[in-house]
Amino acid sequence: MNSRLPLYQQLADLLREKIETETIPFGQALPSERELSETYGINRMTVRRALNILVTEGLLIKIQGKGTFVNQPHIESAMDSIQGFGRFLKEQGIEPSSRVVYSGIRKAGYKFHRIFDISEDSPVFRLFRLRLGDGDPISLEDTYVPADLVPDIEDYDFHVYSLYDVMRQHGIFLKNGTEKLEIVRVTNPEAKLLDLAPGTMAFHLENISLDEHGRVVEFTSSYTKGERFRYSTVME
Amino acid sequence: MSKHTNLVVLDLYEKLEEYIMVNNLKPGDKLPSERYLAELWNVNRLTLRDAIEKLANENKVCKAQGSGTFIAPPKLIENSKKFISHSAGWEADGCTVRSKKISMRIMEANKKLSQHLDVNLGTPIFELKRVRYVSDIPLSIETSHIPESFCPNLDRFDFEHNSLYGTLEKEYGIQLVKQTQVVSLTSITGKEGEYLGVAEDSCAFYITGTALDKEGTPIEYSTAVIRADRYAIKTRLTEEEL
Repeated sequence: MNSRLPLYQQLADLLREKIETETIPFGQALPSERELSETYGINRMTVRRALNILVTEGLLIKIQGKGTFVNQPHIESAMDSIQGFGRFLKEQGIEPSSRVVYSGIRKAGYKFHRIFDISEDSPVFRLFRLRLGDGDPISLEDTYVPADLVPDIEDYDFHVYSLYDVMRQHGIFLKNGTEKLEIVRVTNPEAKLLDLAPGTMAFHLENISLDEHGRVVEFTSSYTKGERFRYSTVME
Repeated sequence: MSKHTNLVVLDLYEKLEEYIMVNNLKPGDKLPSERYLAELWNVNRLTLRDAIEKLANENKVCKAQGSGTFIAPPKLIENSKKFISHSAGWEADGCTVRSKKISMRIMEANKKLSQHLDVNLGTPIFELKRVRYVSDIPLSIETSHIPESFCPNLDRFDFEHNSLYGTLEKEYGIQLVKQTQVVSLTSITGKEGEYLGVAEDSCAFYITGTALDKEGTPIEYSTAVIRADRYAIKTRLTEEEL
């Protein structure tokens, strides 16, 4: 261990190692701050600081009145493929569900006139959904589709149907797209919907999909909990 | 619509984005006052404040105490699809790159390094820690780990001005062709904040990567802490199935 690292970082590294190697497995309580402070002979503020780092990284979770526990393993997503959220979670053995926060038709306005290359008065369908995995909020997705692409798009129940499936039924096949990944602090209403304190860090993704004719057919802005999620990619 | 979710702040956020684009506001330009915009759009000033707060939390504007809200400098956007050296990638985008060395040493492989680099515990590993500047912005702290056996005496080179991958290729005949990366988030520690010129606890990307040569041998394990206020990753998506 690098002795020049500050103590809180050394302790964080040590505990991270124990969690990653499952020496302390998921669901198990960590020794209390006092015990850790005695074990390593460092003060409690330093212990707390180390624990906070691991909470931010999503390895630990603090439960009021109960202590600090090892969190669920991260959900890993490949950054470079278009796939529905539901299928992606299922592949990892997590039961997906959604809650529609809002859905309806609005005017494109300036923003979507630019994104979809349609007039500002054109109708755009908005589907604002909270995505859950095993019942826990994971991601909040605000999706926009030019309403003319799918007649009666409003009438579908998106608790039941996948948006991509509905689009495919209408002959719209997503061919490629771009995705921009940022890290932000969430504010309300997103924080509240994700069950996070305002100011918590989260991933922000902006996603534009094109069909085989090169038309922009979907725009999604989503916020994903960083404590449960990470992205993996292979570059060649 | 859910009764308890107030989406008006998101409408105002979109209005602000539009205002910035239509009025062609550039980084450093001042956003009109809350009072002015609230009157212009006839909206609640507190809700508008929340929308501006959201822009600030997403690093689209910066608030300067007492003097107002300004358009933030743009993020440096990295294309995640192509694997080329850090320097070559940014230079291709017209950015200048340089590095400042924090430390360089030989260490023994710990368990984590031994797993990622497929070596035994205790194997001598060359470790290089640098602050990477892109267009003179201290953007990231990168730590590279390479088994010393691949590159004896690597520490004789100057990695403030030379590319690590370039040196591996030129001096040791090692060509890295592929990298697997995992992107997660973290907050910046006090020490890191000093190097990067940002406050402790600022948001950051935490990216770990393993770079492989043509034979698929892991050559380098790297970790990077990258300022989230100035960085985004862009990925080109491909059709997965169908």
